This record gives sequence, structure tokens and C-alpha cells, in this order.
Amino acid sequence: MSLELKSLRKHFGAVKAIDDVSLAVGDGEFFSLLGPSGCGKTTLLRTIAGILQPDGGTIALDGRDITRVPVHARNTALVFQSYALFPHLTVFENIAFGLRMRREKEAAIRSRVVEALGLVRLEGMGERLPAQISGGQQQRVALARALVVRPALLLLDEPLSNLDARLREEMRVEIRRIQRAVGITTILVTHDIQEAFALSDRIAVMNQGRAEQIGSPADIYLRPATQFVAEFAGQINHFAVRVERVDGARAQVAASDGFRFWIASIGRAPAVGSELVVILRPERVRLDAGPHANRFTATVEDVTYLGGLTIYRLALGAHRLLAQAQNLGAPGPSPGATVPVGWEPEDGVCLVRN
Amino acid sequence: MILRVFNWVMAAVMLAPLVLIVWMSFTPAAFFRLPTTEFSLRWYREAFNYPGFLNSFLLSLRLAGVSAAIATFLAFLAAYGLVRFRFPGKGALEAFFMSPLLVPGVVYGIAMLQFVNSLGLYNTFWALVLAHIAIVVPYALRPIHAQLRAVPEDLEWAARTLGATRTRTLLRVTFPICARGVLSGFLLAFLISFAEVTVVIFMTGPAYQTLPIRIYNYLTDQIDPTVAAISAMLIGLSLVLILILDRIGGLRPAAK
Amino acid sequence: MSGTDATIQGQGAARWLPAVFVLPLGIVLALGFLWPLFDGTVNSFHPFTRAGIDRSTWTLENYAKLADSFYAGILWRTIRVSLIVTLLTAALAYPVALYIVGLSPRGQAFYLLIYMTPWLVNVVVKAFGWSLLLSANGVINQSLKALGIIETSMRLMLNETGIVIGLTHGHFIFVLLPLWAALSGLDPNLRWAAANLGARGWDIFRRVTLPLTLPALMAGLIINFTMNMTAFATPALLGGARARVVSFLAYEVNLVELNWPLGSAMAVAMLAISLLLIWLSLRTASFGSRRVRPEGASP
Ligand SMILES: Nc1ncnc2c1ncn2[C@@H]1O[C@H](COP(=O)(O)OP(=O)(O)O)[C@@H](O)[C@H]1O
Ligand SMILES: [Mg+2]
Repeated sequence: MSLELKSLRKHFGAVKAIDDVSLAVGDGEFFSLLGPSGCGKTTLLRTIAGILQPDGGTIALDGRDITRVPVHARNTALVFQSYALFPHLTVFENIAFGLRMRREKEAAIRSRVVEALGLVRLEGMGERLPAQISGGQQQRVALARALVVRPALLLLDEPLSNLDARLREEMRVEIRRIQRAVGITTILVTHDIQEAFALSDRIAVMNQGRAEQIGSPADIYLRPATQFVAEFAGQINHFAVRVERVDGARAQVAASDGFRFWIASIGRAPAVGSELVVILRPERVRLDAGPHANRFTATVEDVTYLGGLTIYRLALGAHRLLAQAQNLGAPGPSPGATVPVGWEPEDGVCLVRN
Repeated sequence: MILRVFNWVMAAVMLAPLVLIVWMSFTPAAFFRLPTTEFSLRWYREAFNYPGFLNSFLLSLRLAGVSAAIATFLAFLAAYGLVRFRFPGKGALEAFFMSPLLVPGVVYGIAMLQFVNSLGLYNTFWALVLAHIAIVVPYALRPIHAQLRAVPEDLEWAARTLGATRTRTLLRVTFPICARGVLSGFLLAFLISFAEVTVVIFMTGPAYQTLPIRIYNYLTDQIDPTVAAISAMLIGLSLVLILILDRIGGLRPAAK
Repeated sequence: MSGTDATIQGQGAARWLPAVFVLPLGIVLALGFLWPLFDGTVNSFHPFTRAGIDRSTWTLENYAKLADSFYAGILWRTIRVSLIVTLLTAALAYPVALYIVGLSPRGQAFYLLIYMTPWLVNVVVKAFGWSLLLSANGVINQSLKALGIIETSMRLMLNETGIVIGLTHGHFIFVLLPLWAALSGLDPNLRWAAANLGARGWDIFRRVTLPLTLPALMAGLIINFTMNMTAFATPALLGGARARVVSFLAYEVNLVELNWPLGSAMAVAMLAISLLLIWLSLRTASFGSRRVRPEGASP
């Protein structure tokens, strides 16, 4: 089912936990709410589930306004960060809970729970209590319990944050597999950019209760709408500059200390004199003397070896520049070395400074 | 070491009167004389053959059972209201619910005597139930409140999102998870109600013979080992309830 | 953090919903607890006549009567006996607490349960047990006579001695428990030194341990004293009419003389004194925890 939020607002005293959020999630879409801790993701998710009442705006499922529908009648299943498994019920009864509340027939309950156990690969675990299974298994039970009622929406609140790194990778794949198999519209809350990128069709990046940008993972990474989104989506170099000259598809910009380089003027051309922030991802900074439009010489200050990659911290005049290079065999420069650096105008992303 | 011996002596003194009662209840003589080695169940037979004691026992059981059940039910609802909601005057209300602990039995007994008389409820079962509810409510409330606070609210929300109404959530999730606390609360309430002497005596005079009152009346005129047998059974009953309470952790909040 | 801790169930609920849960108990307690106490208080301000309570007249004569030498004498005995019990309990409970905190957790739990048993056993049963020990031909008198130490029985009950013994036994835990808690919070070295009362141990005990546990001790003693003051069954059975205390007198006034206004005045006075003492005890305890914690925390 499709979900549409219109100008949703929720305040806790002076805190605007949700500040005028509008978004639409298509049928079967995997949608993520991504943002730092405290930005309002959980609040938004709980408002969609009906646990919290919004102070303004509407929530619609398939065009039907459900803003005032009480929690238990919403048919949205929420997987809690803490899993919230019922400690006094077996795995089987945990999963059967929603079906019992819907007064399904005993035989139907049995077959659907068994099916759900199979879906999350927990066959034969039905008689255990939640305390007797591992964290990863609890996670699967929570997922099965949510899915078995065939909800209109699956809401996941940081479902992987309590798992260790390896299990997290594994569950990430699992969740995507299950979501595809069931074809259910899903909203995931996470602060983990990798998780959001790996799982989502689209992402809303949230900051202080607002949705700063909504788009595909590639949109978010390659075409960030704000500096906040750019920074949240990975390490960046950024330069505060003024446009000095426009030359067809390019423009030359200068930082206040006179450091000059070229940017691409895509779309509407920037006016001379306008103030911009140029964002440059480290992997776009090349450490070679190729015929780049922007070419400089820098000094290596620091080298961080990461296996497949190496991060270089460079000094470029008064500016610090991060560069990231793949390790393809030849040893890279050492601290203190002088290296050529360069990038193309298209590598920079321009944001209007405010 | 002096302290160790002193502790033994004190512990012995604590138990001495109780041990003596049990001992006496198993001797055949009508007067307690030391040393005695004979063993007899005579006084237990007498106790059970004397309808007064059995009736008193049943009355006490009924009074404690009914009062504790009602008090536990009310306390559970109240604890849920106190733990799960925020509303003005909550602190004061909680203090009010615990306040019967602050009022001495004598004082409350006098007040109830006059109150119950003015309502024409003197010497009725339900007047005693009302008094006992007030007396035991704090004991029921404390463990239930503590346990309820330890139940994550998300469990209830999980149930709600899965289609359970508030009432069904309460019955199917919250209550079962708190069962231990509720049981502790009930047993403590039962224990306190069963043992209550002062308020009952003041409310009814020696007329309404709960088991402790019957023993009280007995002691004021004669001493007969039947009392020992009955007292021994009471000690045994307390012991069983206390062991259960200790097992389910009910004594910890009560002791604090 | 998910910020869920502070979410309130009432978020989407009607404002009156909490009332559904707290009102039933509130009403029962208002009817069965507050109202009777209020009613009794009102009665204490009416005069007592042959016909009963004269509700048309207001008076303070019931309170004035409490100052009569007869009533004042019994009040004085009650205070005296309660105080003796409290001091005796302090002297007995402190060494026990000192010993117990040094034990393993299991040992501590075991002894605490033993010291708790008197409180958990019915008060009339306890009194009966003591009468087996203390009566004229009770175990103590029999034994002493058999050993030839005394010839005629000593009077150990149906007087103040009986009350003191019964109450000390019955209310012991209310001093022991807070004392034990306070001592558990102390540096083990202090406890050890105090328990091994050599010259140095005694010094440490007097200068450090005792002052640090004094607030807890005082709080326990005040509670103990309050309970002694208002105890009924123990003094009635072990003291009797020969050693009347206030609660016993209140019983006679209310149920024998049927002078409810005077009886209510006695109840109001007892309630006022207990509440005052309990308040004092709470003040003492909180004062103590404020003072002890920072010192006790650093070894
Ligand atoms: N029940 C509440 N009462 C008061 N403030 C809250 C409550 N729930 C959340 N907040 C605040 O709202 C903001 C958003 O919280 P949350 O939605 O939990 O963020 P996230 O899930 O993104 O970490 C935070 O500042 C948080 O402190
Ligand atoms: Mg969160």
C-alpha cells in the first residue's frame, strides 16, 4: 500500500521532533528515514504507527486518511528497536499474537505461524521463550511477528542496531530478501548510511525534525541538496567560494584567500558574484598529474591505510584536502611528500550558500 | 567472638516464644512443664473438634481472601494508572494510597468504630472488609507498582500495533508479565489482613471472632494448649506464605 | 537512543482515561479511610452526654480532659515504657547489625529473615509465646526455681516488664533493618574495625562508624518509638489493666465507657504525635543520606 504524509508536525514542549514533513511512499517500496540520533526518526515512525498523535498534518494509506485511526486498528506493524518480544510467551505465541487478536481460526494461525517461522528461517524454534534465543534470532521473531499479520505497512526502528557487525550484514541481506518476497511497503529508520544505501529504494534524510532531502541513494550521495546531507552521506571537502567568471558550461570560483578552481555550471548558470559552497568527495580527488581542469600541487600530511583504500590528508596552500585512492599495487606517497592533485569541474557539487 | 555469641543469643530469643508454642502444642499435658519429651497430637484434635476455632479460622480466611483480592485488584488498576500516565496530582495521589501505613491501628480502629456505627454497619462482614482493604492496600500496591515500572512500555505498544485494544493488552500482556508482583502483593495483603488484630477489636469489640481475636480472647482469661496447637498452625501458615513470598521476591520491596 | 522512554501511553488517549484506573482505589480509600478519620476528628470536638454525642455543640473539653492527671499519668507511662523499649532495642540491635553485615550475602539474608520472623508472626501468637515463658509458672520461673536461684515466682508479665519484653521482641526489625542498610553502605574496613573492638577498633567505632550510621539509627528508633507508643495487643496481653497504656485506655474509653468524643480526641492526639514522629524520622533519614553518601563513597 502507498503512504502519504502531508505537513506532519509533532512537538514535545519546545522540541520540534517532526517539523512539517511531507512525503510519499509507493506501494512495495523500501523507504528509509535516515538521520543522526535525535532528529525525529523514531517519533515519525511512531506517529505513522499511531502510537503518537501528530500536532498537525495528515497521514493517508492508499488515499484513506488514517490520522485519527487508533493504533490497534491501523494495521501497521512496527518492529521495535528493543524487539519488544513478550517475555512470557513462546516464540510461536509471540508470532501468533497478532493473529489471535484478529480472532483467526486456530488452524489458520498454526499454518501461518509455521510459514512465518520458515520465512525468517527459525523452523523448530517455536517452543522456546525469547530469553532462550540469541539476539539475531529475537530480531527474526520480531520480524516474523510483524509480518505474519500481513500489515499494510512494515515499520522498522533501527532493527539492526543491537546486533554485532557480522550479524548486521547478514540480517541486512535477510531483510531485503524477505521484503522482496513479501512485497510489503516498508519504512526503515536508521542512522547508518550504509544500511540505508544497501536496503532502500529511496531515502529521506532527516535533520532536526525536517526531511532535508528525499531521493534515491545515488541522489543522496551524488546530488546532496544541502551541506548537511552531503556531510551525513560521507566524508567531504568543502569550499566556501564566490563565482568570479562564467565561461559556457564552466565557472571559475575563488575562496576568500584567492584559491581558484573550475566548477561545472549545470542547469541554471551561477551568476557572477554569487556565493557558493563547493563539495568535493575525497574519491574524486586524484593523485596524478593527468590533464585535469583543476590541477595543483599538495603536500601529504597524513596517511591512513584502510586495506583496499588509503585516505590522504593533504595541505593545499591554506586548505586541507582529503583524498581517497584505491590501492592497486604501487605504493602511495608518504607523509611529507609533494604530490600532484587534480579533479574535473563536474566532480564538485555546488550548493548556494546561506 | 563476643558478637557472634551475642547474635546467636538474640536470634534464639527472637525464635524462643515461637519454638516454645510449637513444642507445647505437641505435648499431652494441660500445663507446660520442662523437661518434657512426650509427644501427642491431642491438642490438634481438640482444636479441630472445637467448632469455635474452625469457624474463626474460616472467617479469617474469608475476610483475608476477600479483602486481599479486592485490594490487589484495586491496587493493580491504580498502579497501572500511576505508572503509565502523567497527570496533575499524581505524586499526591500515590502518597494518599500509601498513607494508611502512617496511621496507627488504634487510631484507625477508633475512627472505624464510630464511622461504622453511624452507618449502621456495626458487626458486619463488609464493614471489616472495607477496613481491611484500607489497611492492606499499601502492601499490595508496593510490589505491583515496582513490577509494573519494570515492564517496558514498548511491550504494550507492540501488542497495540498487532491489533490488541488497550483492555486486551492489559489482560494478555501487562498482567501476565506482572503476575509475580501481583501474587506478591496479594500474599502480603493476605498475610497482613489475616494477622490484623487491633482494628478488628476496636471496630467490633470481642464480638467478631476472627482467628487472632479468638486467640486474644482466650489469652485474656485462660491458657489452654489448644491455643498452642492453633498458634502453631498459624506460625506454620505464616512460614509457608513467607517462603513463597521469599521465592518470588516479594519480601524485598516490602522490607525496604 | 530512541527517545521512547518518555513516551506516555496517554498520548493518544482521552484526558479522563487515567481516572478509570486510579479512581476506584481513590474512592474506596476516601470512603473507608479518609472519611472515618475525618468523622472521628469531628466527633472529638463535640461534647459527650448521657444521650450520646451532642452534635449541636462544639467544644474543646475532650482535649482539655487529656491533661487530667489520670490520663496524663497513663500517657507518661506509655512514653516511659516506649522509650525504654527503644533504647533497649538500640543497644541490642547495634551489635547484631555489626555482626550481620560481616557475613556472606546468604548469611545476611538468613539472619535478617530470622529477625524478621517476629514481625511476620501474628501479634497475639507472639504474646502467647511470651506468656509461656514469662508467666508465674512459665518456663523462666520454673527453671529458676528448679535451679534454686529463686523461691517464689518473679512477676515478669502483666506489668511494665512484660510490655517491654514483648515490644522489644516485636519491633526489633524496625531498628535492625535501617541500621543494617546503613552499615552495608560503609567501607568494609570500618565495619571490621568496629566489630573487633580493640582499643583502636573502639576509637574508630566511636569517631567514625557510629556518627556515620547515626541518622539511620535515629530514623529507625523514631519509627520504633512510634510503634511502641501506639501498640495495642502486646501491652494489652502482656501488661493488662495493671499497666495500662494509652491504646489500652483508648479501648476502654471507646468500647466500655462508650465515650466516643473523648476516644476520638485520644485518637487525634495519637495520630498527630505519630505523624510528627514519622516526619521527624524521614527528616533524619534524608539528612543522613545527604551527609553520609559523599563520605561513604570515597574509600
Ligand atoms: N516523549 C518525548 N517527550 C519529550 N521529548 C521527546 C519524546 N520523544 C522524543 N523526544 C525528543 O524528540 C526528538 C526526536 O526524538 P526521536 O524521534 O527519538 O529521535 P531519533 O529516533 O531520530 O533518534 C529528540 O530531541 C527527543 O529528545
Ligand atoms: Mg530512534
